[in-house]
Amino acid sequence: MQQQKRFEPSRRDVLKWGLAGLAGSTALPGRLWAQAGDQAAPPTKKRGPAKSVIEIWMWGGPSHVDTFDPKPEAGADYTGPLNKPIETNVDGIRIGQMLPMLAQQAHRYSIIRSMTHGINGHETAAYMMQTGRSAGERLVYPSVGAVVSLFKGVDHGYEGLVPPYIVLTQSIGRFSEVGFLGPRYKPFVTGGDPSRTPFAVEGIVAEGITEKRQRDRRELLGTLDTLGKAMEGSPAFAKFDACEESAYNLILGDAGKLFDLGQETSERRDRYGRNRFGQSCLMARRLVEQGVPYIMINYGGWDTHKQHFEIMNRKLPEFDRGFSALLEDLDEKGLLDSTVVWCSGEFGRTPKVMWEEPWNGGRGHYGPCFSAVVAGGGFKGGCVVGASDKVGAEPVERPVTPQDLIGSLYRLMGIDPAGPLPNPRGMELQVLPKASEGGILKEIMQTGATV
Amino acid sequence: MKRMKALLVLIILGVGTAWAAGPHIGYLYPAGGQTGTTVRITAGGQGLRGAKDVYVSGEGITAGMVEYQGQVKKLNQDQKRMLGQEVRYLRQKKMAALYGRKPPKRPQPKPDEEAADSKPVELPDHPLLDNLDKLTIEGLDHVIDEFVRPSVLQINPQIAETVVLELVIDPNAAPGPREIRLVTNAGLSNPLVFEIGTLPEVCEPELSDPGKIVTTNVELPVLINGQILPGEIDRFRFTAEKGQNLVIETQARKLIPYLGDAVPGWFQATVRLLDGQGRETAFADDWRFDPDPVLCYEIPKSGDYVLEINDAIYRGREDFVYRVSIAEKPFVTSIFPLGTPRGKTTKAAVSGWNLDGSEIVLDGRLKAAGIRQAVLTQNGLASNPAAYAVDAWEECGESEANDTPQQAQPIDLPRIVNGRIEKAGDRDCFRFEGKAGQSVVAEVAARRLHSPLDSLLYLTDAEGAVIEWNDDSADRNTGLETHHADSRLSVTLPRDGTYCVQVSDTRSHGGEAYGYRLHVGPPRPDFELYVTPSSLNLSTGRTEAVTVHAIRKDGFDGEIEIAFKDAPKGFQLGGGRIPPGVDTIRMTVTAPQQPINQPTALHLQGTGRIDGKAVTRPVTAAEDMMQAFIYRHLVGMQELAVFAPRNRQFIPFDEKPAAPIQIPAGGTARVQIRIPNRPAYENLQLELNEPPAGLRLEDVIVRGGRLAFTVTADGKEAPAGLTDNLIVDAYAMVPQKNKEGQPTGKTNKVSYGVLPAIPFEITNAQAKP
Repeated sequence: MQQQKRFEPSRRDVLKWGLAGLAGSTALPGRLWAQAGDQAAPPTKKRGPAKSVIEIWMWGGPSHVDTFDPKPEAGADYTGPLNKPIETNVDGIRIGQMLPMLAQQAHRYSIIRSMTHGINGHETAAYMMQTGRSAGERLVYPSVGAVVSLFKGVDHGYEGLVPPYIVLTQSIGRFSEVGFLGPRYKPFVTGGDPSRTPFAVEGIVAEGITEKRQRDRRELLGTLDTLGKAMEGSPAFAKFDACEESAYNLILGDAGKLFDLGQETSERRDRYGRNRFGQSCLMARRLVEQGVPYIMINYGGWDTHKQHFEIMNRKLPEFDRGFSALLEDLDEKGLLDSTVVWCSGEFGRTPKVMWEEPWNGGRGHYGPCFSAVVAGGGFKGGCVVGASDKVGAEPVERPVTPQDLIGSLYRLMGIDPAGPLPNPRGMELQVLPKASEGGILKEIMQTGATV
Repeated sequence: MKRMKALLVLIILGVGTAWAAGPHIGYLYPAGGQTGTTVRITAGGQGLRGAKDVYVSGEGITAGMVEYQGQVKKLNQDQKRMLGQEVRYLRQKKMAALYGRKPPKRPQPKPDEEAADSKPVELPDHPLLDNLDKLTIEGLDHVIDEFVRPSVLQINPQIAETVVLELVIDPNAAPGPREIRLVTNAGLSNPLVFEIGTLPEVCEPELSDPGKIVTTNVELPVLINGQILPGEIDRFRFTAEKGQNLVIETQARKLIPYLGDAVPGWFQATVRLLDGQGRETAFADDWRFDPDPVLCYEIPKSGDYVLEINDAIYRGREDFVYRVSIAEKPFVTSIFPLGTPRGKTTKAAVSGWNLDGSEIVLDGRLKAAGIRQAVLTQNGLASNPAAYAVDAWEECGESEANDTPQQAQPIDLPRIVNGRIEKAGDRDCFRFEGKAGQSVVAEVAARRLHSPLDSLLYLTDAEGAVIEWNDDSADRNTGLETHHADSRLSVTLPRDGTYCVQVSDTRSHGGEAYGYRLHVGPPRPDFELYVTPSSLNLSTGRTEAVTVHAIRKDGFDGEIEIAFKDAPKGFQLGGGRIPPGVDTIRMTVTAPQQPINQPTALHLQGTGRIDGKAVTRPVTAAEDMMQAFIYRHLVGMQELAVFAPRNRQFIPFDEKPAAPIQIPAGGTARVQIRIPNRPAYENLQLELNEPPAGLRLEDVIVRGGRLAFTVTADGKEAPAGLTDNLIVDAYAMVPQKNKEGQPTGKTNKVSYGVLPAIPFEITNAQAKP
């Protein structure tokens, strides 16, 4: 079987690739984005910063060669049964055969096929992909969502119904989203399952409890609150009462309706797929409509050491439907231009199938090379950034690090990666370390998209 | 990891692509037996259909197959439906009894199920299904998880098939670990450890209800065999007398070192001792840095005690197998010194439990340098093995007080110092005179000799300026050592003068057991060799690939020639040269054209030139094991077992391995191999097997007893200077026929193994257009 190789590009490698990428983009302008064909890159117009981000976090690490970087020429030991990639609606771009709906949306997204960090452990790789920082530093840095929440949330005029950083539906776990920023920037994790009715959002929508019963309960609680009555006028209690009022406004006010997917048409719900992921995508679009700056869809189940192809058969159609519907819907509603959508796991999976026991046709963790997808918010569609080698084992063109990807996203959101990162300890920190101009994904940014 | 093609065809997702898998065993239960007894054991694994024989390493064990049980848990839909109904009914019945409700009615078969011609549904013979009505509610849930809903749980096909074996252990069989391999129609399995012991043995009761904690009575001394299933805690009650020094020693990771699909990457056993009132009196989840727990406990009061054993985080599976002994047996906790000079014996001081004497003999006579083991035997019971080193350099003992550079003990180089960090915070200093430009290596051997020392090593000059320091040297990921902590530093001395080497414990721990051997002297270039896999499946005349790993030491960078040692006639090695600087290379073994119908041990050795002299080292058979989904370890095995029954699917190669073919960088080379002129070979196809980047094979021609092909080297990916072996798969696509002999229009891929390894070298020569 293939040895799992830790891949850590040296400074020389990065410089070499960077120059190669630069040379490629200068000498061969078609190489990167002429593939987009006629449908890519709408006419240039002046843009403002993106307003929202939807992150599809494929926890566990999806196989890049079975999704956005197929390698049919590598042979069955690499492709398994998924050896017939399909053409997309953008000339020259092929993706995995299990993604036919996304194949028709290729003009709306760009594929990065040379993501790399070389880390094969879940926690460390997730930390890198979520923060853009290397693990092992003295400080625990905040995730992208927390940083966006810091710069675009309540401290900067956000007055939405719900908190500025929402996770659908389960917390990543084994990872602190806020790092040293503290609980103020922690995500609101919905819990529940949006494919069920009602979508039981933690603390907002309670399953089996009507609005009237909720009001009755509040009234009863008020009757029993003897301490509160005895301490009437206390500033501490007044603060508590204000918080309680906000909480009940969430539950009984418009926020409850925001999470009511019954307000969408049945056809639209079907288009997204009647499953947790599909309805989470639909929910994300509704949150974008409300101006929520950062929404993460925590989409687990990609850690396919065993039964990989059986799981792909089950998951990829669901992913294909939900993600393609999200892109289509955002675009139709005119939201895609102002919404960055990015999709990645913490790493990819071993290009070579592990046929031996105990894996019996599985794929292992693989950080040296994997794929990410970006769309909207100033990212062009119909492009491919970078390339991996013949089997998808190493980037051979334009390696992209988590820092490059996250830095690009910040740029589109109007956050300066080289700017100061406020923190409770008052340390002099940057949003991202030594943000390099070469790393930013300028080649797939719309002109005027960054601030 | 081995993967044999064309032996067993596995169709995945009905797409018709074929992959192959060899036989593999994931556990043996029980994983050992007492001398002078006959034991039946179950081997769980994959690809075991057709198992027909058992191969046990060493002498004194006769083994045979009893039966192949297949995947007993695989129920058909009717069986699942019937079992589901029955369990549902029993569950409701128990719930009704629990809450004082009216018992439910037993479900009646539907009319179509009563039809006269319908066959009765029978459940497989499995201990879990024997007494369903006696199971607890949790036990019933477990049955459903195991038999009805396996698709929603983690499926473990790698241990789903079982075979039953019978082993007759001679009374005089040497105690200790053996290796068991199964022989199947598809070849020889990997080895697993089977321990021969001298204590009376029992097995935990058959798994009847994992939801219920059952306490089993045992009598001391005893060795208990068990398996831990999810959430399970095994309990054993015994009577002990006041003053007994009991040693409770567990073997779990020693039996199955690493689990690729588990975190932690092995069965992490914990043991707990309870007194008659159920109060915990002792607990262990390891023995120092060894994950298998050991409890040494003096019984304070006569009476009943209970031993509990479970996984540290309550995981479990059939391959969570353990052996735990409870006895007043000798147990060595430390020895000092930790080694002996080669050619001599040393009486080392020994500490531990139930030891009559205070010395143990470390025998260095007739033994090559390396790590050896010494065992004490008392009252017929053997102690745990104590590791010690045999070395060629002159040795000396540590002389206190040497805690500061000013008090440093003078030593001459080269020297091995047998020292000990005697108390917490202790530091041992040694000084020597050095010359400018002199290469000096200082290395601590402690952890690998079972010392708990977590060494820290400093080299300073006479003024105390640190020249180099090291906490942990490179972890070579070999063997069972997962807490590597020995220090090593290598320097070129900057000037003439006095230098000081300082040894301490990183955590400032110390004590009687914290011994070490400090080597200070010139670099000692050397190498160790491993070959994987340790079971080699061949057939007459067939060639397959093996991987040889070189662990290079102290800058040894030369080439190593690999050769058989005392191999049966007819074996050939292809590409048996490890080029300079290369650590891992694949080569090939070709079997003789006469069958080898019984698995046989094959020996390899490697020779390199060090300081102008030929140095030969054995090649240790090993398994490349994964733990915790990522980490890999080369785990040494007792032997490289080879099996080569008769088979017609091979190509006889008469030619001796040639000199490396020269491929110009960016160019091509034509390879020609003589083969017999037979029609069967006319459709041969060739494919490179895991080639180095940048090489491809094309233009295959088979004609007139010649097999020819072209190898092309990409100028960028395969630069000049690259040397390696090409491994080439040979196969033919044979038209498939139905039972009537008519062509079906499909083809089968018939493997002829691989060609003998083809050494190559990418050269700077001008590539021809």
